[in-house]
Amino acid sequence: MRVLKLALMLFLTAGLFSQEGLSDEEKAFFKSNVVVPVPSEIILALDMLSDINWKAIAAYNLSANYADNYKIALNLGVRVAQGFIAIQAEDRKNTAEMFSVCRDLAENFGAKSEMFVDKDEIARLLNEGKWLELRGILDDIHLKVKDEMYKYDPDFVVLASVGGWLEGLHIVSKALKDNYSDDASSILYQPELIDYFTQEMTYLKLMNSDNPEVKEINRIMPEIKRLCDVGQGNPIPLGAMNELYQMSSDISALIVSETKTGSDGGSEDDGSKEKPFVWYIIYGVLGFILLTAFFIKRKKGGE
Amino acid sequence: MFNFSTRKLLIFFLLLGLMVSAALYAQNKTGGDPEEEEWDENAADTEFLFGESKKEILAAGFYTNGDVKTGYFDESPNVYATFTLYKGNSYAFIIGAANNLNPIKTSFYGNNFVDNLFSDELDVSTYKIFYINPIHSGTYYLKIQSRGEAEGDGEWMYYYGFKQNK
Repeated sequence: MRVLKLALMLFLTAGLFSQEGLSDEEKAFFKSNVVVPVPSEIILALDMLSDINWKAIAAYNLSANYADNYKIALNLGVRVAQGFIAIQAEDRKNTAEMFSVCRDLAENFGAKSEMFVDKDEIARLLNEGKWLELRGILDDIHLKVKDEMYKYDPDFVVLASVGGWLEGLHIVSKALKDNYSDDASSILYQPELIDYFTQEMTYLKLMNSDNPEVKEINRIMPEIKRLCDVGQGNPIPLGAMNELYQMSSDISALIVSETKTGSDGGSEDDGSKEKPFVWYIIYGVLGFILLTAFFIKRKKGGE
Repeated sequence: MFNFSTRKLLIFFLLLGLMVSAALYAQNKTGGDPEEEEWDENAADTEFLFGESKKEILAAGFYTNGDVKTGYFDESPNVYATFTLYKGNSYAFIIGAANNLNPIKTSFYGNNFVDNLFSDELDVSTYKIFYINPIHSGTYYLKIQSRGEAEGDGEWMYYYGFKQNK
């Protein structure tokens, strides 16, 4: 009996020590290192929880024609997310297109051709229906390009991550508003991730944040947080899902639009305005030279 | 000035000196290779642990993008990370330590630190895989703690894999 009591006391003491509590200060440390999930994680989870017709909900944008680096970074994130959807939908044509567009966009950040798998190899995998391998390749490219972008400017990594995440929100909310279930809707409960992106966006340099896209993202992030902050295990109501879809749809349209805004686009416009003025000066100088030559010749002839 | 044998001896020493200098020069040249200077034995250890653990999780049907995080305990004795996990997926978390002198402790929390999903100790220079099927989507927290590794080459690593929870 005494042995049993002793054993029970030891067991309880061990239990008390194993319930190692975390102080509030220590809990705050966790937020300093937020791991961003890859797009395929949420796609796979949603595929498991809901009956989604990926081919029907997917919408692709093939443009790679952007003047500003911040916009290229945002669009790279969007296209990578669309690439994962194309793979999930087992859509040969659009998967090939997304690989090609991602490559075109990534080249702006010094991504070398060695980073990309040969087009013929992609075509072979597509023909053989090796979707898992294709997903791995896209993931690998995604990571390598982010490394290259980081060397270029860490802001672009943040922009690409946020672009990809917003496109994920767009696709998931679109799928869920049409095929709503309480269980599947809770997939968008990701408060720390939203806080992380909101905070990272505030650290962007002015040259990368003073544009309509980033200003709009900064405006809607608290709204997204409010709509998704339902508490762990609780569903996001259908009304909130519709709002999330509308918001993410609008920002996605703004990101992929080819309208030239910001510094580079502005300078191009200024350049086109300056061009005729430059020509006037050139014609003026040429005219002056010709007139001077004419008068000199006339003067000489007169003598 | 010198007789023949002294001259021979002098030539011998001169040749010997020349050979020693040439050997030292050659050694310096290979020793000065920047790649060899940057060689880090610990990197190979976590690389090895990563390679071994990756084989194991791939065989179990998990997918990982190979984005492994590593660091030294003398720089950060406690490692903290926040993850977003989704219901519907299964996760495999791989925690490892290389060249550490003491065992390490790792804990994983969910539901705003209320649930402790795993808490375990790891031996020296090894890894462990922890499997999680989250019952709720949301935020989860990982802590890796060294047991007094204030200095030395002790290194930590972590990464995760996931698969659809079919």
